[in-house]
Amino acid sequence: MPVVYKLLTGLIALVGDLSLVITGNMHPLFIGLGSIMFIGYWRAIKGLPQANRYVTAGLSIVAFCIFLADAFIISRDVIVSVGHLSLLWHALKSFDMKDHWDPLQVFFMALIQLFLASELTRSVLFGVLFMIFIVALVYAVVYSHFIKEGLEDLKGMHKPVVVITSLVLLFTVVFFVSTPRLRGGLLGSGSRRALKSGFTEEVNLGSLGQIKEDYTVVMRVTVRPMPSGTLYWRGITYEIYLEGEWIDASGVIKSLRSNRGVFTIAPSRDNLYRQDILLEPLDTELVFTLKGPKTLRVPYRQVMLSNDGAIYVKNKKDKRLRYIVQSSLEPDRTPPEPSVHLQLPEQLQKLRRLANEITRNAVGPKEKSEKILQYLKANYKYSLRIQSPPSGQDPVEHFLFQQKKGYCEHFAAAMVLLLRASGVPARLVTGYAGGQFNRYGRYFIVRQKDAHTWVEAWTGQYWQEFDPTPVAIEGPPSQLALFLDYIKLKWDRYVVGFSRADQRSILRFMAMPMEHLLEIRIHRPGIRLPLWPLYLVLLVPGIFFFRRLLFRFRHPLWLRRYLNLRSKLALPPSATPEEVLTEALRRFPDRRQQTQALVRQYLKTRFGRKTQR
Amino acid sequence: MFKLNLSFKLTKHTTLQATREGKRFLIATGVLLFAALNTGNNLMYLIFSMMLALLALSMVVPLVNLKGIHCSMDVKEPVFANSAGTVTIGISNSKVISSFSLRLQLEFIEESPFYIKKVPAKSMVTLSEDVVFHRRGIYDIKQIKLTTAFPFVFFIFSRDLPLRKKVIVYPRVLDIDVSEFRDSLISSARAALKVPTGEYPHSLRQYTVGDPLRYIHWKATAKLGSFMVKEFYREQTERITLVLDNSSADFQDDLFEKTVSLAATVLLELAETTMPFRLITCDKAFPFGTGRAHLWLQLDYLAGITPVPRAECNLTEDLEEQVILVAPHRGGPAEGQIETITRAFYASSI
Repeated sequence: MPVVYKLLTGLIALVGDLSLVITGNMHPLFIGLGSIMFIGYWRAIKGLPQANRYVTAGLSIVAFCIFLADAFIISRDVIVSVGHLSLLWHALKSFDMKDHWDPLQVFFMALIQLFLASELTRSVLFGVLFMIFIVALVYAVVYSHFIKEGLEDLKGMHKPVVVITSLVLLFTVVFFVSTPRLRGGLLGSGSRRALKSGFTEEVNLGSLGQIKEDYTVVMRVTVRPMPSGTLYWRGITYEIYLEGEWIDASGVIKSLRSNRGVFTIAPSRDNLYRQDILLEPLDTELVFTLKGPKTLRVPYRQVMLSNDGAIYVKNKKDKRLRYIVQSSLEPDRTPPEPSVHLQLPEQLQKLRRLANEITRNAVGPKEKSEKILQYLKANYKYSLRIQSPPSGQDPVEHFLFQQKKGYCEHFAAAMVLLLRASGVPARLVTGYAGGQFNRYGRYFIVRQKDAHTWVEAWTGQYWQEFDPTPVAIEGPPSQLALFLDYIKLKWDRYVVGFSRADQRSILRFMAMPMEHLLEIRIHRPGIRLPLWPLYLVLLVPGIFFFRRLLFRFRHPLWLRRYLNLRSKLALPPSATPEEVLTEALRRFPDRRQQTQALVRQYLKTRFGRKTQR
Repeated sequence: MFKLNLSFKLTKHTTLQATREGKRFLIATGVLLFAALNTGNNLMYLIFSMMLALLALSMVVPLVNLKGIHCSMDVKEPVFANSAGTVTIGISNSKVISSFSLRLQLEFIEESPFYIKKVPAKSMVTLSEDVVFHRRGIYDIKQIKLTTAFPFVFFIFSRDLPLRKKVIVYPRVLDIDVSEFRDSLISSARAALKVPTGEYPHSLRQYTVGDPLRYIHWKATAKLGSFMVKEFYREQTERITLVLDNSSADFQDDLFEKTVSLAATVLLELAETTMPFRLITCDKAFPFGTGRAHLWLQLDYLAGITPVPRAECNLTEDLEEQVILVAPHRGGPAEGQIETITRAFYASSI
């Protein structure tokens, strides 16, 4: 076995192992045991003797017993335990590279590892490993072909192998795009694992601190056109405050009707802001939008709407979701309910006094709101390091009168209660604010740390947003990190999140020259212009490849008959017309006259004075 | 154990066969397709697409590889059974792209040595290999099987290419010591030629190696531009008839072949002498003659000889010359029919 072939085998085994390692589900002990394969492949490359087959068989049995224990007692997870077993198997096999069939087994096992990893991760690293795997696999399988034929080197074969690798990549893309997707799976549903991040529908004051330090990406959003100012991705509003806990009392959840996947939330008009959102799996069915959502395009059947405008997509939990929302950014004009939006616990007397003091000279809800906002911004500091309130003390009063520092939850809760104490209906809104703008893909990266709480106050005509939290200053983002995130977005969007809708749009795109024929309408006419030359360019190689089919009737009928006869007889190219005639008469004696006439015609035309046509 | 045979005839001349690796790969692809459809996991679709791409190229590339390939064949004669003969195969590629990893399979060879890594576009290459023809006979080669699995190891594609080649494989030359017999023949021939009493030249023939120089007819040689020698009338005893008993009373296939090989071996030895010789079998009698051309004529016949039913065997011709009998075993019908046997060879005793 050539050294290069052994190296390729080792590389493929390593890629298989790494694909499992990046999932984060493999136990370090098994990763450590799996890395023994480095020694095995080093020995194989050096040409050192391979392990005794009884030793490998014995160790294989031990590995299988470990697998059983792992699957049924330790991890109780079949996928993870099969992954562990595959790591051990690769390590064992690296010491048992004896014949041509052994590397092929390694390739199969690496394929199984990729298969397992695809169930455990959505990471872009999987894509990188997959690319390495394809290239190495093609090289290795071509190598194995030549080894099977008795050759040891690929000298002079690198160019065709590069072409074949490129073709494999191209075909992979074509098949990936064109393989039909079934909604819901063959047996109901898949067993996809949840990759959750921690947005919560409950607001307990002081619970958000840890999330504010979490850089996990929650969603990536492209907004067209770009609105000015900070963007607030609304989630839920909270109305009732009881002993440090906010409760959503908006009630009345209605089901929305879908028209071809588009749910109408409110009557729409022009100047809408389109948000293309890729939401990571969260522990909630809630989806986030800019204020004033009008329509929602989402690949689910049931969408619910609460009274305060929170949108829920049924059964989306644990799944990555791509949805498109059109928002007007207009404020909510639903009148407040005094019993709900002015609710204030009786015991907050100190807070009431403070509210009266702040808004003493203010007239009207707008001015009162501004006064309270300025007061909070001027007198309180932003900090994630806060102490819990003494038992029995309200957390908001603790923030306002003792601690005097906190984060968005404290500021927003304090402002809502102060507004209510001064007679202005107010509510608490949770969601995400801002996000990091990525110039590479012109989209926002919204992370867990961007989880935010702000205030909406009733100004008399509409609910106005107020954000009392002081701005925390951050350093500039790393350009490399932004670029990698852009790659990740594309991976998530076009590979992990590829859908039937995408297939339809590709079909529409491809069918453009035939749109009149198939009655498919293109909704973006601007794209037609550059595409027509592309089709014309593709037409040239098309004609080149199919020219025989296209020009099959270029010969007169008698010549075609003669050529057909020749091909039927399967004679070598050097056969003369006389030989054709002899063979034809032998094979088809009943058609003697026609055959003779045909060959005579051929000879006369081909070698006589008459022209071919 | 259950064995899945996946073999399909794609066209009249092209077949596809899945290898062991190919069958496993097909099953794995099917399993992955089910998993991908069931889970809707796009990463599984991605792996499935890669496997499908490998399968598709395993189908497309070999078909392109086999297209536009033509073969011609040449065999360096003479070829004897069970000994190596040089076979040259010319492979031409009329395509605009090269063909890779082609194996050429001749139907009478189990493991073909004809393998070529690359046939460049619009060019021709030749392969020469020593091939052992195991059986004598006339090989009418009408096609050559071109196989390839390139670029992978999952499917083997075969295409039958038309070919017109007849190869005569002569009977095996036995490795037996007939030197004593040959020497006695040569010495008797020389003795006869040294004493030309009562002999008169009756014709001229081409010079062959071993002819005494004094019998060269210089006048005719000068006229014709090649050496000519005089032929003399000789005594009947100087001519030799080889009788091959090919009647099939109790022939086993192997014994018959051995008998034919023995006859060919003796014939070759006879050709080394300058005495006129001939071959008589149950169904054929050659005239007397000398030289290589006469020998090959008789060997051609031996290449295709088959057993004849004993009832149809007639060896009772009036034989007055030296008769050498080649028979499968002692006590055959020929011994009863011919009285003038001077020497007998039995295949069963070799």
